[in-house]
Formats: sequence, C-alpha cells, structure tokens
Amino acid sequence: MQIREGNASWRGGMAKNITFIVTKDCQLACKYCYLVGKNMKERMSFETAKAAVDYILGDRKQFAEESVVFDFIGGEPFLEIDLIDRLCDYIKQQLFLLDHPWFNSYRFSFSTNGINYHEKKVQDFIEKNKNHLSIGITIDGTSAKHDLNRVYKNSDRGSYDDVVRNIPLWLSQFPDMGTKVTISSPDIPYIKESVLHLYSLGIKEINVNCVFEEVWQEGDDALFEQQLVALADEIIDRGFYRDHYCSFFTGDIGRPMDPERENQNWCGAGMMLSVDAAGNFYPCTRFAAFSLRSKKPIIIGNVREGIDQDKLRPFLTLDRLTQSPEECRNCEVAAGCAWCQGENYDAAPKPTIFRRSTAICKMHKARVRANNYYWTRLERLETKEEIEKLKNREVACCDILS
Amino acid sequence: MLRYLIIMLDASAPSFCYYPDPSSGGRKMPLEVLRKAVYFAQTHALGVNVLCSDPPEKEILQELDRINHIFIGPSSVTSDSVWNVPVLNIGDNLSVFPGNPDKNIILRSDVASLPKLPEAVSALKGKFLRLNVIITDEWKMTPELVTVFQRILEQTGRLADGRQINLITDRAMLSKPSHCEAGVKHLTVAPDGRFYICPGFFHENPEDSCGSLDEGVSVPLEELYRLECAPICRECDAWQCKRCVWMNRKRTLEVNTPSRGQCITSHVVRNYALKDSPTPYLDPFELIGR
Repeated sequence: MQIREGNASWRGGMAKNITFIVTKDCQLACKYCYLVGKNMKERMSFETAKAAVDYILGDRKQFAEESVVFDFIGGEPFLEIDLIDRLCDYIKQQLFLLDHPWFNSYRFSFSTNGINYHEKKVQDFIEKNKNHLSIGITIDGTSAKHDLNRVYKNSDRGSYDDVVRNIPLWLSQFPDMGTKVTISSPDIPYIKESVLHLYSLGIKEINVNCVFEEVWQEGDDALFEQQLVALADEIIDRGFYRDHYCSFFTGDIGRPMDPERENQNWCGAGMMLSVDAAGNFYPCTRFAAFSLRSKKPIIIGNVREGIDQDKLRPFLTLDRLTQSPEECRNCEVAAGCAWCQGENYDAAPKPTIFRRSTAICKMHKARVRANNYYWTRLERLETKEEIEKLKNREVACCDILS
Repeated sequence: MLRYLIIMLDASAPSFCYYPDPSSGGRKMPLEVLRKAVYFAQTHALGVNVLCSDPPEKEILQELDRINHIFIGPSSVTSDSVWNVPVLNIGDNLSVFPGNPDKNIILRSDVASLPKLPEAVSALKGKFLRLNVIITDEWKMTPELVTVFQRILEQTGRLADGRQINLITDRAMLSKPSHCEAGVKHLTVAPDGRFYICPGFFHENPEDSCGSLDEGVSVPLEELYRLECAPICRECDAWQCKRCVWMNRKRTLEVNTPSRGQCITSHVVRNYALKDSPTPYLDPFELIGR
C-alpha cells in the first residue's frame, strides 16, 4: 500500500525561520483572526527589510542554522508583492556575495488567502523563485464553512469563490502543498463536509487546528467529537487514509507524557524571529502589538541595535512542566495537546509567558476520543505493520498562519 | 510562606537594594495605615523591616514599638539607632562614617564603581559586623569584565579580616540556596496600604500591587516567584545569589528568569568562594538553553 506522508516541515524543522510582517493590511476580516490590530498604514519599507537582512546575514554566529526559511506574512503578504520581489532579489544577491552557507539552503514561504494568487506580479514572482518556494493557500472547506468566517472587510461577503478559482492553478504549481483549516466554535458542524470538500478539490493534506482562544461553548466538545468520528468513518470507508492526510488523526497523541524526556516546549517562539514594518524584532509574530488583545508587545530588539539576548532567555528556557498547571502536568491524555505561547501570554492574568492557557483542553480531549476511534477502526482493516507506517508518517508543520 | 513584611514609611525612602533611589517628595504612610500594617504583621507572625528617609515621628515610633522591627535607611538617619541597618553608597565619604562593629551595613555600588570596593572596605574597617554589597546594575557584567571583577574580589577578600562580607564569605558558608525570595518570604506594604512584591515593584508601577491591608494579600501567579518555577535558577548552585525578581523582570520581562549579566556576576562570586570546584561556565543558560 502506498502511504501518503504529511508535508513535513522543511529541513526537518531545523531551519531558522525569519518572518517578515510586510503589511498589517488584508482584504479579509476573518472572524477568528487573532490579528486584532490590522491596518493599512503599517507597510514595511525596503530600507527596513534590507536592514533586517543585513543584520541577520551579518551575524553568522547568532544565526548558525544550516538552512533558512524567509517567511512572509501579513495581513495578506501578496498585497506587497513589489516589496517582496525586490527583497527576495536582495536576499539572493547578498547570500551569493557573502558566500553565505544559506545560499544553497534557503526557502521563501508564504501563507496567503489566495485572492490575488493569479495576478501577473504574483505569478511572475512564483516563476522566478519556483525552486525555493512554498506557498500555502488557506481555504476552510465548503463555501458555507469558508464564508462563515473568511469574509471581506467592511462587508459580510464571503471570499470562497475568489479563492477556490485559484486552487487548480496553485495545485498545478505546488501539488504536494497542504492547506490549513482553522476551527472555531461556529465551524464545528461543518468539519466533516469541509475536509471531504477539500479532498475533492485535489488537496491531499489538510492541517486543522482549533483556535487557542477562549471561544468554546458548552457542548462544543461533544459536537466536535461527533464530527470527527463521522469524518473518521468517511476517511476509512472511502479509503482516503491511504493517500490523503488529515492532521486530526495522528498516531502518537492522547497518552500521558514523560516528565523528563518530554518536557520540551511545544511552541517555537524565540527560536524564530519576526520583524515588523517599524524594524522591531519579536520572538514570534504573535507577540507583535497587532496580534495582542490585552498585553504589551514583547519586542526583543530592532534592526538598528540587534537582538537583546536577555529578552530571549525566557523563551529559550521555557519547558512544558514549568508553564503547565497541575491539571496538565497530570493529564492522562497530554500528548498532542498544543499551545500557542502568544495566546498563553495574552490570556495570562499577568504579563508572563510562563502560564499555559487551558482554553483548548476539552477540545483536545474530544479529539483524542475521535482519534482513538479512528485507529481502533483501522486496526480491524490493516495489518500491524501498515498501522505502524500510518502512525509514524511525518506530521506536517502546522505553523502556517491564517 | 511569608516570614517578614517591609513597611515603607514614606515613598521617597532611599533604596537599600537593587532598585534605584526614588525621586524625592513621595507620600508618607498615615498612622492609620501603619496601625493596620503592624496589626497584619502581628497576626501573621511576621518580622518587620522599616524603610524611611527621615527620622520617624514619636507616634510612629510608638506604633512600631508594638512589634520587633529594624530600621533600614540612609546612614545619616539611622546610624544612632539600636536596630538600624545603615545604607551607604560607594561614593559616600566612608572614612567619616562612625559605624558600629555590632551592626550590619548595606553598601550599594554600580559595576563601574566596583574598583573602589577594596578601598571602601578599608575605610569601613572595624565599623561593621557584616557588610552586604549590592551591585545595583549587575546585569551589566560581561565576560570582558570578569577578570577585573575577580581581581577586585581577591583584593577585597584580603581586607575582609575575618568579617562577613557577602561577596566574599556567603557562598562558602551556605549549605542551601539563600535567595531574596520577594513575593514568597516577604512582601512590601507601601504608604497607600497596598502590598507589592518589593519596593522596586512599587516604584516601577504603583498600579502593580498584589492586594492591600484592607483586602488581604493576592499575588497573581505566586508560583512564578518560587525557585522551582525558575528554569535557570533551580539548576544553579550559586546559592548566594539574591536572584532579584525585580531585576529579572526589568531585564528579561519575566520574574523567574535572570539576565546573563546577573548569572555571570553570581558565578564569579561563587567561584571565588568555592575555588576548589569552579564551574566550567559562568552562565547556566549555556547548559539548559535551547
């Protein structure tokens, strides 16, 4: 049997991730979007972007990873395609001139809403950089599900039609790319049909996550479990599990975690670097002001003065147990339960990253129950060897931002 | 568990610790608030440290007389009091300071002034029982300054003459961690009757309180002030380090995470005291950081 593997993060996740927040503007105003401070004013200038590149490429000791992913996000990054094109040319030129090890090991990564994917400037950029690109288009599922949240700003018009028309072009250029689906409370009834719809569009890898914010209603977990069990039946009965991937159903979740061997932090905040239009550095985009509801941004430096290493120390010493409350430390199904450091910070009663938010707890437990159902059903159909292969296939990197 | 309470009789009381001196003209604690603070200390079996900038009035002294307390204040104010801990600065004219061989002294210095430390210890010879040196900006300590700092400790150690000087003698005498533990072992009550983790937190942001004498103590995320919730510090054996949570927050934005300079300072001091077992690193972050 041919088993499809998830689209594993590039270079096994060992690449340095540099994120340029090129604009805080977007055509859409998605209802679940964590970016609370989007605006049309804060657009990155080439000079700021260049200063960031010069700082990063000029300090090989600090940026010693073998590979790099330059990530462009917004807002909607392709609104700034002119800047991005010029900046990517500059990066390539500098990597060559500096004889930088990243010259043979770089990637430009995008997460886009897909609306202007077909436009000439975007397509020219893709053609020019096609060997070093990964582009994810976010589509949430059926028209009903997608348009429930992903609506144009200043109107309630959904964006489904404008996105779905670009999916064939995108898949022709990036046939192995997956999409990311974000689930909030009102989306739950649409999960099964949405994942199946995305499969029908030709997308074979679906990375789904529940939002980390405190949005969940009474009974959401039961409904979520029902949807996932129904989805599990469809995936199994129609044989999708052989050549499609859905991140809901993963081999190694829903068990207690070893306090010593499995004490590392879930989130990569602090390992990555994010820079905004003002030239400020953040441990992750989620710590920039436009991402935060109630806390001050955590700025760890800027393109002129560099990174204040003291500000990074908390991020680089954070472990699972220190930030977890008692209920998480003793949880019987802890494995696979995710958290977002930025949301933890935003939701904490005081400004700290050392307090894990548990808003997602009941949804994780519901997912674990459905995941158990999925695998116990599959175990009746496949050999032990095939089950092991399915369970051990690499899970996609879920760090693509909506 | 709380062991003692710091009472700030007035908000302009000079710093006795790492936080900077406040600007003058701060509010004084009303007698009514002091009564409540003393009552709180009595009912919670707490010792009391009193911070002041001027000699307290008679009725304040009478109120404080109801509980064991020590005054911590600038030398000119407190040098005659039986219970006082005088606070000196390394730039003061220490040779004229009268001192008392039975008292503890706090001596504040910044990193740049540390070369004056041996001279200061000489000037204070016979004038203290124990000397606590506070390096107010120790986060500025860098690997490049280590050799100079080591030399200063060597010179100071030769002048200690058997007396206790925290930088010289503490680590060798400790059999377990001896940190400040603000927020765990002690809290500060400000003139407005509100509780703070320490006076530094009050001066930084008076809105950043953790309860009041009327409403009781409420320290949000109290566990973060504890050693077991400090990933770097719980692995560290520089037990003499004060592990200043105010400076931690100032430098790293987290109360449980020290800056590199704080760790380097503490390890130079630790290695001076434990010469036979120096650490191969000066910053434990090198061992545990991702």
